[in-house]
Amino acid sequence: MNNSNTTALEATIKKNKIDRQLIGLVIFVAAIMVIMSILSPSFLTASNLTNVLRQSVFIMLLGFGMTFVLTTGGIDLSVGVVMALSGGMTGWLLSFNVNIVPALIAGFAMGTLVGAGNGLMVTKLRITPFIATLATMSIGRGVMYVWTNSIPFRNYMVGGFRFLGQGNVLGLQFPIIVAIIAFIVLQFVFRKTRFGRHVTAFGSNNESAKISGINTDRLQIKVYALSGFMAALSGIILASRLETVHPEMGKGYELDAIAAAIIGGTSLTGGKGSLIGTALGAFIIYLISNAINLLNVDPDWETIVKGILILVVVGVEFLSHSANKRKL
Amino acid sequence: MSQNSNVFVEMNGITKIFPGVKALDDVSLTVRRGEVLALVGENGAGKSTLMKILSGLYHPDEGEIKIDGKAVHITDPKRAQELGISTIFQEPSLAPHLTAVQNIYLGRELTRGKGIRTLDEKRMLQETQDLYSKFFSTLGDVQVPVSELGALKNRVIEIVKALSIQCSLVIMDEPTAALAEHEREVLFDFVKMLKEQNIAVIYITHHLRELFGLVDRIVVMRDGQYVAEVTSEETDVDDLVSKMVGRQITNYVVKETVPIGEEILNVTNLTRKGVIEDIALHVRKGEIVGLAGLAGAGRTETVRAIVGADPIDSGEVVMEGKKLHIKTPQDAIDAGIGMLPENRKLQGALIDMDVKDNITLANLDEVLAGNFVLKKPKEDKIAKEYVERLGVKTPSIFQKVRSLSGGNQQKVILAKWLFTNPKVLIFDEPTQGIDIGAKHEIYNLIADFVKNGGGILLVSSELPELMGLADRIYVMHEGRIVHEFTHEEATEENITLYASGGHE
Repeated sequence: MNNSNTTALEATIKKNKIDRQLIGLVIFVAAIMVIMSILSPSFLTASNLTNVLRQSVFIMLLGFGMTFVLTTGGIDLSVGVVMALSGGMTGWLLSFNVNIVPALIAGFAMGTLVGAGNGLMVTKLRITPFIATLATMSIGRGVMYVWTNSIPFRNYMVGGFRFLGQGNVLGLQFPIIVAIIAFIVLQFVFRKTRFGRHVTAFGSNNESAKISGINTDRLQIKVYALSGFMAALSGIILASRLETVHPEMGKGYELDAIAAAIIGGTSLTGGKGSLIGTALGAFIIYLISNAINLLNVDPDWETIVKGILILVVVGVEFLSHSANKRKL
Repeated sequence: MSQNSNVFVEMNGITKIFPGVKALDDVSLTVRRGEVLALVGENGAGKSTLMKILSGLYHPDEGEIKIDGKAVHITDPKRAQELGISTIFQEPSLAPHLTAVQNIYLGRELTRGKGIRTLDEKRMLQETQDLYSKFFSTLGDVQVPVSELGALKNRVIEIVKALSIQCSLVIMDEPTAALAEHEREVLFDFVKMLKEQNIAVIYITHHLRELFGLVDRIVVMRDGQYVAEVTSEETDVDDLVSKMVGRQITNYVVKETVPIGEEILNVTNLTRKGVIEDIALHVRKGEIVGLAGLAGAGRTETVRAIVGADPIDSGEVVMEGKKLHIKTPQDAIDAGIGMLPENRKLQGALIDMDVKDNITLANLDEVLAGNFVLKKPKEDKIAKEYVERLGVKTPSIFQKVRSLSGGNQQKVILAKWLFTNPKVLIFDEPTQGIDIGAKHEIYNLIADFVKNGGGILLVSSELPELMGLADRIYVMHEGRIVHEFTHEEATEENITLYASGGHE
């Protein structure tokens, strides 16, 4: 143990060491790239890779919000249905020729409020996050069927709205730009603000956060609201991309978002989260599906590979952790 | 400064009722600026509850609190801090994933910038270093997650955290519980320094000896009520103990003579690189063997290695002449070695399960029918038997262990191990955080066990306990056994000398 006078400089440098799990993921991605570029000439092209990135944006955005929730030790199963509710709200209003600005605001408000509602259930009613958001998921999906009468919303593609899901800026598709901006903003919030610090602290030790004077109820409500907001963002862009909101839109996305976060090194038990990891995790999920597609393998293999990947990542993390412990 | 005019906190007629228990009954307490006030009493006397009210975690059902003469409502911990009250809690209260700096500033992080304020990591690090250098000669690892640091360093961080708050009163609830002798001295120096800075300290401890020369007044509580107030000059340990328990307890520890039989456990050459080195020890029938040393000397690591809780690099464990291959704690249990670990709540007991489940857990085979189904009547009967035999104070065997006091939790864990019919029991800090009455009951149970031919390996940071109970004492220093004392040879001075490496 280094007990001597560590200087401030040394201490600051120590902080910048990069998570080994991230390095592992980058190596994994690099390995896929190398192998795939040999097996398929169309893999390592800018258009193919941006395509993969664009596909992964929706899970990535959900995953960012999910990372905050998981870091508090919670979970949000309702993000898939919130995508549908928010995308549906905006599309529905647009179809009545409502101006795009209020339509977007209503969509975001829908997601944020449902998220805040989850937070209220978790804090004020003390329902465990899994159950609270499971209930929201079920109710929300039912609302979608009733609201749409099982007929998807269409005919809402006004000019400006099309841009969100299908536009280009400087040759980059707009959804990718949204994901990059969301990442930068949330990374800042997560690492550089009190709120982010409190999220980690609460997930690490609830009691400790409480006795340190943190209003933990408000903190959790904010976190679930953030998750709802991110789901709304994802859902609205998807509504623009697909030009239709089906009542089943976003179904199963919540599990992919959780998978992306976990592959990226976020802990289900709280206290540890990585937005870079989540972004990589979402990218990897679609990279695998892309690879399987290009290799003409039966797409049914996709979820099998995804499942194995989760097991491997979590397993490696566990093994390296216990090896680390032994060293101490 | 005048002692009487300078009242900082006044608690009047505080009553707190928990479902089924009157935790505090009309308790009043006055704290003056710059005084060190000790609060003593057995577990369950209401000390911690009273302090939790003062630090904003609990709200009193009756009574009022005045600070500087003004009535206040301490609604939450933040409010307490604003009023100048800072608390070091009994339970570890750090966030394990955060670093020392992040923990110290948790809830009141320094920020910079206008509008969107960002964390000022540099200033927090700088000020933490200043704080450390003010109180400690060396700076700890302030930039790694605290879970990677040991119990002592965590305690130190909690202390620094409490002291970093601008306060007029520091509440210390058993601050020395995880500390070794010489580290306690360091803490006492802080207390004196705080006093010099006119900061009041409320000091809660089970180590009554610590109080003498340290505190101005001692307030004794019992069963949620105020019992007495004395100065440290007009009292001694025996007197305090009798006030606490309401009866006279004479000798601190009574050593019973038990005939020593043949060797049961023999450990040789036990090594875990970088942690413990070439440990050799043995335990005989009827013998209590002590393992002394400072925190971090490798005592806990030694016993964990013996029972297979940690991997070893080399070493041999022989039980009654038979070489064992212990890979997991289950192997140790099968061989007749039981261990009561250091941290009751984390390692020893399943606190959310009931008393019965805990008692039968380590030996479920005994209560199985056809290797699969639990025989409930038999389980209940066994649990009842042990509860009676060990005098566990619990409303029923179906009570959750969480709701029992520390001493009774320890007895439940002991019952669990006795039920496995062990030949050797290893105790790691068995009486940490346990009140005096329960301590003596544990001592008696230890004595009963060796009288029946068992052997005990006892790790304890409390020297009087170790010297009072053990037939032989091994002293560890930096991962090695550096000396062995007989019961007669051992004194606090010479054990401390070897434990701190002073013999070299």
